[in-house]
Amino acid sequence: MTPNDKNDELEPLLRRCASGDAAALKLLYKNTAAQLFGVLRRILLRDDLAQEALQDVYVSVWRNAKDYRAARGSPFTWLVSIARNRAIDIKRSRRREVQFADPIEYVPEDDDAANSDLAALAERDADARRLKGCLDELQPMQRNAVCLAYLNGLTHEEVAGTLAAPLGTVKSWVRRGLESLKGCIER
Amino acid sequence: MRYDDPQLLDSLAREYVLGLLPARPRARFARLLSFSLVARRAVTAWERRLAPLAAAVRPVEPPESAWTGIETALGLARAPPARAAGLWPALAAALAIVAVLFGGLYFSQRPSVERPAYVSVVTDAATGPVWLLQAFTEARALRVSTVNPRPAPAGSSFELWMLPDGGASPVSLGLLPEMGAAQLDLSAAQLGVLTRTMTLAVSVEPAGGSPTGLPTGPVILTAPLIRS
Repeated sequence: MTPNDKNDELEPLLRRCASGDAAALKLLYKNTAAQLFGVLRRILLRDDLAQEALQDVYVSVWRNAKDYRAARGSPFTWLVSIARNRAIDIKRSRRREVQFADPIEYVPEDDDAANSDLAALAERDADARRLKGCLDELQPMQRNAVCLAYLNGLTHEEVAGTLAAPLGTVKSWVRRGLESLKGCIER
Repeated sequence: MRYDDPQLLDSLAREYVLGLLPARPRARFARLLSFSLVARRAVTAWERRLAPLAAAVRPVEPPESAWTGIETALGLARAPPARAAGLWPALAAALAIVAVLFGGLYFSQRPSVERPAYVSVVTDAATGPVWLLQAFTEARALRVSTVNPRPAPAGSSFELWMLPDGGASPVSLGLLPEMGAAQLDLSAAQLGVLTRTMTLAVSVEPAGGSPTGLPTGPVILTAPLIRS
């Protein structure tokens, strides 16, 4: 069960948060924090920074719950976006604290693991199924570059370093990969 | 940077979502998002397309201290349950009296409650006041209360605009609720324009707001903006 399956439960919780119901925030946290913490750790690579980001996320959710509108995507998409933006801001502004001295080694199994998790989710979630189908259509290096940027919050330069490829090539992998992805998802 | 080219906007939106924009363009684009519904929509579409990747990440239970940190940051840990007042009206009344008596003391020890820097009442000659608007510059928020519910025509939304002095293009403040209250965020850019604005306008736009970032539908009401 991922938070994405629980959007119907999350929406009323966000509405209650908007009206100042602290119990709703706690329920929202119980339902979503582990998923967001997983996402944050993967980008920030340090538990203390991920925890700091997680706290920022729910403080921000509480303060901005009034601004949540279905037009901004499902509650889960909204929460993930807040979390990823916060993590990326922390990662970029505190580059030295996030341990880039010892960047995680790129091992192909990581990519397979990400793919198998998506495959598992795709069995019961139509959006995941569509995204997986479209990712599978990309050239492998385009797919790797897009996933490293999205899941690990890497910059073009960092993706280039990780995949040992020239920067210009990586930029075009990402650009073409995302263009194909968009075309495929909207097909 | 030209943001009115849809292809450029979409490529900026996807790089923003992935976190690939360098710091300055990222900050610039984030500001654009606070008032451009077209940009906001492009970003939302990318967030939606890629979210299943995040949903597939294996969850990790955060330490207990994360929740206590949130409670402390929001001052929720010691707050009484919100419903208590409803359950015990007499107690609530007594507390209200105490609050009034000690209000000065109480508030002097907490961050002061901000007074709106600007107010405006959007009035329709036929039905009377429709929206009460209060802009808070410190909280960077525009509070909107609907005085008389105003249903938007099917498939459309009411959008609020600043008409800056000197004839510059209108700048959106966001969508107005058809009923009830809403709070709209004010970006630094919007606050800047607010200081140069004496008139607000409401236009009828396609549902979700103007697709161009400028009013496209008829302006149905205007109202003076008053510095309070």
